[in-house]
Amino acid sequence: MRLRLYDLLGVKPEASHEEIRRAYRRLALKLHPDRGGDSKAFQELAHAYEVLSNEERRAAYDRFGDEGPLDALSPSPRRHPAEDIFDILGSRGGGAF
Amino acid sequence: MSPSPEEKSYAVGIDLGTTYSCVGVYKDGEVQIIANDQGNRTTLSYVAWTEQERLLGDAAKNQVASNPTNTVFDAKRLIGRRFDDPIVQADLKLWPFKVVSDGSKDDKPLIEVFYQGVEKRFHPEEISSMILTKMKQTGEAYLGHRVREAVITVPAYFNDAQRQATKDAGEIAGLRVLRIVNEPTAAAIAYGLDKSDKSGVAEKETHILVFDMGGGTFDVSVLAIQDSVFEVKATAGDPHLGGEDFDNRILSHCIADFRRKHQSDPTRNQRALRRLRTQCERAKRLLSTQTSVTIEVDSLHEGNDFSIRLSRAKFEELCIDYFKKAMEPVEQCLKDSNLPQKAITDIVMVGGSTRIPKVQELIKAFFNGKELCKSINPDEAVAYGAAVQAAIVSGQGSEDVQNMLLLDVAPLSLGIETAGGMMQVLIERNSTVPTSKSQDFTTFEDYQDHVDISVYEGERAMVKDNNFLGKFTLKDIPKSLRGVPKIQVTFTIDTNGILQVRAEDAKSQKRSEIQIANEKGRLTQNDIQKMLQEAEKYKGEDEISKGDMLAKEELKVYMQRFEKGIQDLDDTKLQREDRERLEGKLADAYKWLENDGLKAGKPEFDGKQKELQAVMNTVMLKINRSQTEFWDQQVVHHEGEKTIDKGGFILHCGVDIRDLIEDPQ
Repeated sequence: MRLRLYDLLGVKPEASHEEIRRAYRRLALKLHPDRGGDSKAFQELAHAYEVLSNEERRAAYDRFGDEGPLDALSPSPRRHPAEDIFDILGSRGGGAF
Repeated sequence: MSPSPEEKSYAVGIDLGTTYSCVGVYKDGEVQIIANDQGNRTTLSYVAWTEQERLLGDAAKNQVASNPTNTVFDAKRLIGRRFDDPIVQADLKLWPFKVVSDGSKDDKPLIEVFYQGVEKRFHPEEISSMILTKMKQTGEAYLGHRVREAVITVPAYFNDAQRQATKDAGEIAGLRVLRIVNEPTAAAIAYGLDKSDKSGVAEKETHILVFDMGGGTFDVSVLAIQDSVFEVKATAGDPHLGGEDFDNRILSHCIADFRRKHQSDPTRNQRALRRLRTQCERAKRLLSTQTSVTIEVDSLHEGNDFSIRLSRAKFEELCIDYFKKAMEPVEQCLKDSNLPQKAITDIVMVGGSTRIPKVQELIKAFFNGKELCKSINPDEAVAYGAAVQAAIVSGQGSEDVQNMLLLDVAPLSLGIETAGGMMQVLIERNSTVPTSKSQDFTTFEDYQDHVDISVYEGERAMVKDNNFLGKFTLKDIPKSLRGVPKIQVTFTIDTNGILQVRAEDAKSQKRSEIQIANEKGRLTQNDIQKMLQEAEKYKGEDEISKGDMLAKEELKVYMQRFEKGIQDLDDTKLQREDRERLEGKLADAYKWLENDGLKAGKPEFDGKQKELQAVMNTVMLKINRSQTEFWDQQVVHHEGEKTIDKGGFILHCGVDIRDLIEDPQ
């Protein structure tokens, strides 16, 4: 099973939390747009760190890997369980207008 | 890249505050906080219009008591809000200047003032741009170079519309806004640099909490600092809580006391309120160092003097609910950053209101008696950090600064409305920016050919409880059964914390893409251009208007003397036809002043005055026939003729003044 997020951070899957954090910061210094980096590359890095720095999400990722269901990677506690993989957009949104 | 000296320009950091603003620049390896023309390192965020001119900063505040309705402050409390916003409606009642709605569907607030006898309306962005212009000029005066770029700070808890509007204000001021930075984050840089100077660069990770309470806004941020990376872990706050709220509490207390003592109500007397408010603010400041003060205003209202003794304990009692409310974001912020209280190594206090002993006491108690960090200047720290960030982003900093990195977050969750009025979050609050998130959605009904996408920010489950940002429609979706189309919605937040939304119908070969912009009362690019031109015009106006207005005033004074002169001369001295001629001339001049005079400049005013003088002199000549005076007057006449020759004014009366010079006998 490929675990791309670890590759992005350049750490082994058994890396400690501290190692992951250091790796993220070291790479952020290279990839952040303020430092002349590419915004896309930084966002991927930030996403990898977001998942791997959260114990629950990291555990889910370790189990399902890159092919895992989207929800395993989502932190949202407010998300209602979707019947479908897609959420549903009404044609008549209840906007404020 | 090394621009020639003439072209050299600096990027400054500007703390655009509710009540005070501050500008700093990174130069020769250190940050300089720049003093304004009055010698103050912070400038009042005030703009005023008088009969003569527009005043910015401290000069505007100095004349507030005599000109309350045309002196504007607190623009930051209006920026990016709708007129019908309850916060705006509540603030309105306390402001001496007038705020109206623009009447559009966006319901933008406009500030209404009288300038040179004409009613003028300004967007809050324009007021802020004027303050930014003042800060820009302050920087330029110090540097001796143009300032074209700036980093501007906003409260961390400012929403998308407020950030956009602040950026627009910068553009109207003719500044390229390099970055919108969160105030507590900027303060953290100032703290971090100060710290690393003293103890070397921190190898170990430290966590700091920035408690930023200024004149109008309140923010709390938790940051992790390691090596030269400043990572914001979480942020929380109240965009409408600060020193002015405390002033208002004292003010209400004083008004109640005045009513009781004098059985009269000063609340409709704007001048009285302004004078009293100034004393309340002063009292609040003094109560940070002494335990009681006297608030005194002579002849406050209907000839009654006002005096009251206010103790620190009473002040705290008046404001305690605000102070306690300020502890909630602290708790929230710690929770969001997943850190226990004891993980916080330093508590950094920023903003003038953190000088209040009770505020310090409460936060100290919250952290079990931990000492607060007060080594950085609470008024200047934000501008200091902004200046450093300006140097980083523009590449002007020295090596140690260039190695720094700031990782900031989005303060609020962002999402769209889905069936049933639910909020579907795409970007979680406290996500590091820049960030981009996509999610797939589908249709709700069979053969639905379009979807409405409504964008919201906030933390509640139902969109009706969150803040509406904007809405757009994705059209021409190929008709198919419900659930078949695949619509990908992408949210992108840039490094300024500003959001862009895109929707694509992925299944059809044809891809449509829409960006959200100019919603929620945001100014259009056109508006900004127009205001930019207006501001440019103002700049010229400010410079020339002084001369114009002086000339106008001189003319007015002369006309008053002229009028009085006619009245003082009795019929024995002044013949009836001369009186009529003089009165007619004066009436013409008044009419001219009311009409042409509104657009006239110094040459026209001077010309008009000469014209009146010429007529008056000929009449006076008839009355005073002394030889010496005659020759004195002759000189004046020649002056008048010269003016005509130069085309300085046109004789509307149609009389050649030479004809008026009768034989002295």
